[in-house]
Amino acid sequence: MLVLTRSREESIMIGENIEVRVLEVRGGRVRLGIGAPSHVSIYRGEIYRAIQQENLEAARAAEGENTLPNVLPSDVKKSPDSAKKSLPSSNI
Amino acid sequence: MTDHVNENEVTDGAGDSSGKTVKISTSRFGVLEVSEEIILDFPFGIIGFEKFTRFVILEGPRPGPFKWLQCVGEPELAFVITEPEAFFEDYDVSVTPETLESVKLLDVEKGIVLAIVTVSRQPAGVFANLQGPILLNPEARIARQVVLQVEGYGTRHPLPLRQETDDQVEKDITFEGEAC
Repeated sequence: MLVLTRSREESIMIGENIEVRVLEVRGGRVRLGIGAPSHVSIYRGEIYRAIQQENLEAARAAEGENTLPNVLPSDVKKSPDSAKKSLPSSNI
Repeated sequence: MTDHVNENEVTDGAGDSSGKTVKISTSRFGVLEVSEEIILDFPFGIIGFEKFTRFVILEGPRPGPFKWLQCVGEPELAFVITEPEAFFEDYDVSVTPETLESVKLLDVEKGIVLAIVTVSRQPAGVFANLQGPILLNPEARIARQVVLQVEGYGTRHPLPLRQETDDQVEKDITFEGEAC
């Protein structure tokens, strides 16, 4: 991993389009400003990893399963969007 | 609504009004022939599965809150999905204009929000990922897993469930079926 030391208001460039600027350093916390093209996804690292982990777990749990859960909402809260909008789908 | 009758339209296979069909291989359901018009483009993939960018939604034999999100091109990859608003009335997906634009939506209300479901044996339960919902533009058929930055939504929310019986299906609940 590349390690750089930066002070407040200094930045680093990642490639030509992504800039990460140190806005504030206080009490063990750093505020960063990130400029990047809109197609670049920016996530907090731990949130990204949690979602990645859950996706992997969801795919793993579905392995070898060919039936959907045979359960219903305990109380239908709201009619799903697909009741009003056309959900592109197919029957098995 | 547009008029579906068009004599010049070339149909291939099943002869329905939805145009060409494509065959997709699945490990669970064999080879399926589906309308090309249901294939969803996930330009960013699904987090952790970025290289898979085409999926289809498959409905089970009985109407219900769960569906399959089957990868096109990787027969074994499929997720169970649901529409989280059926379980969590106040579930609110707020995303940036850039995210909306990335699925060619002008208004989040025009999209369909889906959640990936984990059916877990240990601990036993059915969980929805509310922090990383899928935002689908049903007209352009572009979708993306988005990461919500708000507090309160995690990756593993137990779904409030009751056991399905045939009676209850008839009496208590009606879910709109498939669109195609």
